[in-house]
Amino acid sequence: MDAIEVDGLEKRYGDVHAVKGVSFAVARGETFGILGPNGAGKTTTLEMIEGLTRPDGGSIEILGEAVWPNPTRVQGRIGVQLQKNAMFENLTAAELLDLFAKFYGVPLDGRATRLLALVGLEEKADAQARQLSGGQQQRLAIALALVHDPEIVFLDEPTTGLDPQARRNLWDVIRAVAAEQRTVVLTTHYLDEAETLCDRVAIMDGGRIIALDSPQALIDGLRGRSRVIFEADGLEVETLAGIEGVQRVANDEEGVYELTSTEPQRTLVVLVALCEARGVELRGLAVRQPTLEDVFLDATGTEFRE
Amino acid sequence: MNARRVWSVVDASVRMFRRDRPAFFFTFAFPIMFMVLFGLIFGGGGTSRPTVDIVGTGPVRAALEQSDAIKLKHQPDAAHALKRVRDGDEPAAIILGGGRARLVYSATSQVEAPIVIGVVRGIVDGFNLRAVNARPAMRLEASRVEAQSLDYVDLLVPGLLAMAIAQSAAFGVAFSMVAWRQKGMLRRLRLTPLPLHEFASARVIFHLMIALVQAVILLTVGRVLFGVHLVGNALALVPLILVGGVAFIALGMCIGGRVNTEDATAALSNLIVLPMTFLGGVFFPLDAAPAPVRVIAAFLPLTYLVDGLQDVAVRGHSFVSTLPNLAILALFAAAFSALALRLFRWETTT
Repeated sequence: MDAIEVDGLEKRYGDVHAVKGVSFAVARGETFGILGPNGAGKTTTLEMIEGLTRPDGGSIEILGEAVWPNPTRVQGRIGVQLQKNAMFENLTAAELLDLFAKFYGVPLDGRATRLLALVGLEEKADAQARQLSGGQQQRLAIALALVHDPEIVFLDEPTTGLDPQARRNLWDVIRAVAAEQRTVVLTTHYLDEAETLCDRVAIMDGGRIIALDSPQALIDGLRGRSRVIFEADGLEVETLAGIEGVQRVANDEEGVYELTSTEPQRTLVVLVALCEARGVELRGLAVRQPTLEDVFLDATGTEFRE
Repeated sequence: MNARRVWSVVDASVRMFRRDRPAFFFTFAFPIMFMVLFGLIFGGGGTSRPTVDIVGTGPVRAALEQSDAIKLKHQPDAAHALKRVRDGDEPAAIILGGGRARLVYSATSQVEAPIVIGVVRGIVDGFNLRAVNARPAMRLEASRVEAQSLDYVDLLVPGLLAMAIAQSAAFGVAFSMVAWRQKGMLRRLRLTPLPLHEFASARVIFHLMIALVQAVILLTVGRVLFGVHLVGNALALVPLILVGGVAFIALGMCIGGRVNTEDATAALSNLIVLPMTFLGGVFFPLDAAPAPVRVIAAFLPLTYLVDGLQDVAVRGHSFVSTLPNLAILALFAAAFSALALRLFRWETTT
């Protein structure tokens, strides 16, 4: 049995068709990412699975149980961190954990310390929520989502608005949560985040899933999209386009070239030979593997905009 | 209903409130400031015992001095007394002499002048009757029902208590509801197994606790600063505070359910609660108010809370005699609760 099974999910808000027939399954213990730009339908999809927004069509099962029409049944088995980290801001981290544990009717006992340690907030047990930084509040929200030891954890854009250091700290927290044999579903609009954290990624755009696989498989599918980047003087675009394996030549800036190649190794050999023969110096030579960004570009024909 | 869960929310509410200084100030210090201010301005029986200038001596003066309806202030000559009335220093002056009692008053003293006229006329008529040896055709027997004479502050203290309960319940509930919905706290709670009715019950219990603490504080301040003693049984106040409290908490939930932003909450709460405090008999007795005001007041829940609290606190009424007020407050509570349930929303809708 899968942790989550979503089939033909539909949601409209007035004239806006926010989610158009989304289907996917998340295996138990998997870290599953939903990646896409703002307005792609990620959050709406997540909220329908969490039981906050009623779908207009399609079905959702969590651990074999239908979420709708009575979402409270499965809500006891999932932990949720919302995009807005709402909490009673005059309560301390320890008090909030205790309060949420009482909501679920599970004794917290000594687990408060362990939960706070898991999210790196052991020093902040007695700090009021409003005194915490943005990143610390995100981590507290994750601790609150874990208070009843749920099998599935949903994180909605957990690192949005954080500085790079706080983002990396939060990645460690998410990895630690996933390491506890939990299923983690997260949405993000950061490609690198999906690439580092997720076992599989669904890329969403305009309310549809446009690609779904492990980050590596998605990138491997674009093997022909390695890029060779360098600076040089006096090379013609036509000559470069004729090199073995080259699909496309970008020369947006004077003397800066970006070759897209299906055979980066052959391309390099020919390029180096060409420069040797002409006595042209190659500067800042780099070969880039395709990233999820390229997957997105390939699937939608547009640049990924965060 | 899971009592442990409800109590955990009450406990959390108390902790949050204790750490929220603005709320603390608004709930306790604000009504005390009001009481001190109004007590000082209108205290000492300002409206109930007018002061009158008097010139000359004689039996009429002696009789006036016996009256506890007015206070006399001796002036040496009539011209001076007249000037003082014209300047508005005193509402009226009585000039005695030559078998005549002359009364001059200012038309601006709409409350005091009729009292003074009535008192002086009564005394003069008495002398006239005695002079012709006539038997009065009708006798007036007047006796006071209150244990003590009622000054303005005596009514102000329970009135302000009613206002404080109404304001902090309605404002407090509405503001927290809107803020929690805006910040997504309600949505977060919705994902937990805590049912809405348990959350709402806990918040009602918390706000009723606040109302009872307000009662203890304001009645104590009234007693210490203005010597206003609680005449009736303090326990008879409790049902009024609780039922009235529920009515205003539910009113706050209606407001909080209707609006989306904190600014709109402030505007709508003031629009509803502020006129109520002026028309509900907090600052002036409704018996003396014009008919249209009394008609409006009859439709305001605060009127019945003010009246009930005054009945018990200063008129010494029993619990049983507060039942009509209690019943009406219960009706308001039920109506507002039903409306609040209809207006409730988890999410801010646009």
